[in-house]
Amino acid sequence: MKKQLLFILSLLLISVIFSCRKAKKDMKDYYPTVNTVSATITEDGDVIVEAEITSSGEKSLEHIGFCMDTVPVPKMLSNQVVVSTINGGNFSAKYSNINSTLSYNSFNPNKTYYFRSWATNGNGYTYGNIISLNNIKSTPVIPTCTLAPSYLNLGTGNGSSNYYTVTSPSQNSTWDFQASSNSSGTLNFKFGSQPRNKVFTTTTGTPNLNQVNVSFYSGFISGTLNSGTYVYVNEISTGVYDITICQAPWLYNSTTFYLNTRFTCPT
Amino acid sequence: MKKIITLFFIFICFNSFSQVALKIINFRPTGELGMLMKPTITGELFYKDFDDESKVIPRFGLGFIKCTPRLDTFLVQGLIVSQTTTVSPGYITYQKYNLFYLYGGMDYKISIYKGFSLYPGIDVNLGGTIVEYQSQYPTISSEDYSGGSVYLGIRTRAGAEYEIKEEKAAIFIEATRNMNLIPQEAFFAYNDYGIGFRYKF
Repeated sequence: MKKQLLFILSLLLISVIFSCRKAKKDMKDYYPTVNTVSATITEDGDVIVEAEITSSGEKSLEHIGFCMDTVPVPKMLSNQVVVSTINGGNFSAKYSNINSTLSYNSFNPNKTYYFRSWATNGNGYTYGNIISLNNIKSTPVIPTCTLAPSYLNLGTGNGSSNYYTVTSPSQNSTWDFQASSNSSGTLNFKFGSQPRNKVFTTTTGTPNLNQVNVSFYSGFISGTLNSGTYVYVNEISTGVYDITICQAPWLYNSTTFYLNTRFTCPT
Repeated sequence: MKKIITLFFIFICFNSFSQVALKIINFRPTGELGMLMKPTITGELFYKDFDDESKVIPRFGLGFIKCTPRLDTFLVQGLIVSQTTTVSPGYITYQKYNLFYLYGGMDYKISIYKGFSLYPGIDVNLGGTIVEYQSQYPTISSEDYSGGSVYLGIRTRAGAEYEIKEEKAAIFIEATRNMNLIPQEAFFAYNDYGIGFRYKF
């Protein structure tokens, strides 16, 4: 009986000693380790942030993501992006220059933005290092045609004219303005997002973030530019845009005409 | 709880016959508790009879552990799930985390040589935690908690003892594994390494 008791006690003792999970000496070992690797401005003025997980910590990863702010130490809730996919420890996210779902709406080129990665596991969360970027804006675009600074030719054979007034873009559901010429009528622009250095594409319907609807009337003629034509927008100073359209087809009474125009908005 | 403690002391008094054992403990939390609390030095008082007749020797005791958090603030997170998922950063700070316990069990004495013996042992624990903490999860919740829980546990032990004076005084060292369960709340465990001394008046 005593031998059996001794055996049971010894077995129990050995099992519990080897089952114990020792405390880690360094508290950092309990949490994930994440590094913000890069923050890159794209041609469209978006920012691609990349990070890597070098350790998931003592427990498995739960969530990963980025935060961004104009204050030097962004907190997790600031413009938070939760990333759902991770590839070999690396993950990335895009902060779109135009994104109405985030609080910053669009980057201001005159401000500095701070990007930071973060990761959580069952024990808690940690931040990665911070990368700052300024002058976040899209790269100027080069139109395929060279036109005079104030020029409109509808392509109907009635010659060209200059603009006498162009209104400032106002934001409704779209960014809208009018460009009125001396003798060739008025163009109505509806941009799907705030004008900036970008090649937008025309659409005959409601524009998405990368599209613009261009309609016009000149006397008894009216029309809308066909879908798929490029509209070149360059921001020459804050809120002032140089807009060019080259050989844009539009249809009137089964005949296709080609519009060329360039102007400064607002004028 | 008070009744249990009172009964326990009465029990000890009836059994101890002026025998006392004091153990200095190096408390080393493991697992979840090991992440939260630092190792510390504390003490334990117990009764264990000098009995050369029997190899199975009962022991009863009590102890108290004042834990110190490893960090001032533990960073934790909450989750807000609606159409999108938002991870909300939060924190927990512990103002107090104390453990107290009573235990009863037995050692199995294996005599080696002239008063020197080895012993494995096992106890059953009944204890309580006294906890104060503050937790905050922005946009989710914040809480100031002060309270306690009762826990049940089991302890296994291996030790060595040398009787300085036969059936009168002895010194010992022992290592103990403590595994405890707060019903429907948590499991926590720790090891302790103790050195002590027993004396019969």
